[in-house]
Amino acid sequence: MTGVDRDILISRVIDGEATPEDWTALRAMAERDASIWSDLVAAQQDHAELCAIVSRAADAAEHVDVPVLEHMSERVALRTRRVGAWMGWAAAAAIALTWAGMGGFLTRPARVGADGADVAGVPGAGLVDALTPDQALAQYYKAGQAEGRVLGELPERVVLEAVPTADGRVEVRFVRQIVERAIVHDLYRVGEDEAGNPVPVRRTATRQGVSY
Amino acid sequence: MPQAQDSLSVVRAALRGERDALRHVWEDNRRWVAAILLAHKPRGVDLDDLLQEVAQALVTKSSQVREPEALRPWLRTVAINTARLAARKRNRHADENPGVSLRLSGGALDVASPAPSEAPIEAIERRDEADRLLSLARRLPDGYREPLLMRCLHDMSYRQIGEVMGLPDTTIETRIARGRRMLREMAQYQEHAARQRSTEDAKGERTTRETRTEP
Repeated sequence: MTGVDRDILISRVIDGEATPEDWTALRAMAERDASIWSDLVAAQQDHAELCAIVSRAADAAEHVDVPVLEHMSERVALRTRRVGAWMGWAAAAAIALTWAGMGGFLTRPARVGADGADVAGVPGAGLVDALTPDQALAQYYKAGQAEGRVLGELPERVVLEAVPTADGRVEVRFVRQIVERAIVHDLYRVGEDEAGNPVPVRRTATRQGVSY
Repeated sequence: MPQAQDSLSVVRAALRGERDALRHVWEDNRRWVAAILLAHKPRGVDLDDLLQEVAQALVTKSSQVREPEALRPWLRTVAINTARLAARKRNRHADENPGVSLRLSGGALDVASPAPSEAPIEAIERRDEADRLLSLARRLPDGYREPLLMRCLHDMSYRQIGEVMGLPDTTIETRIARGRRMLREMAQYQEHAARQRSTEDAKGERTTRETRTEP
């Protein structure tokens, strides 16, 4: 029996992996050299002390969760930034309109009562229930263009992610880019104060537009 | 943490970026990741912070992994790199702040020291009793210290440790056994050195007393 065999036998006992044959070998070895028992006790003690520390670390890990939601928000924010960059001032101005208090259309979704009645003073909101999403969108284009508010939709769609589905197809999540216009008195963008809080920052418009 | 067929399908989903699967994979693996970080992290660096970094990497970078079987070895590499990066940052901080050191009994114990293996034996002896063996274990070669610590997580078999490290389970078993023996020898050496020092201290004290009592 070599030194390594002795180590492995002790180790198997500590790990609870020793077979009956291992125990037989261990006893036979102990008959020749009884110090194996004290080695076993010392190694067992080391293992217990070490495991107490590792277990504490592992227990701490149980409180660390994967930052999935933050990541998703970052990805959407990144995509939105790309949209903003691609569309120039249009997307940024839309954000600014929110601050300027002019974007009721952008900020307040139509709320419809259970009976289809208008809610919160949105005229004709009850009709939305009766339309498919495509019909509702067509309605929005028609009304928006008649009002001079909707200029059109950019042909390209920005893909956020593509996830294979269980049935072998692919679920694609994307952004449709609709261009609107608005006449406003003041134009703001969202900046940050010293504490990192969002604050409106007034922008000056030029004939060429505003770059962000 | 058995890696059965259903588990592999969860890993595949995680590699595609599916949220619930990523969460599941993290929960399945975070305990042993903590053990790996513990094996490599410098003293004084918060384990939670490192775990957060590894979790972040799982979410943002695991799509680089092509095969589900490769996820655990990849996660191990990320954990080791995260701990080493923390050590380098700490080294840099120590270089930039050379005054941050404690002088004890004539020796220098750098509180920013990232590598216990490089610390003098006297410094190790001064550490808390609870950390004594961990400090010694960190002086073992990488290939021995990691399986030794991972084995402390009772749900990890030799085979599963081997999957993480990319080694056969027989090698893992041998390394754990050999690592335990090396650890015991280091602990015995440390105990012997401590006994010797206390004997010398007592002898020195006796000599001083006798010198004082001489007429």
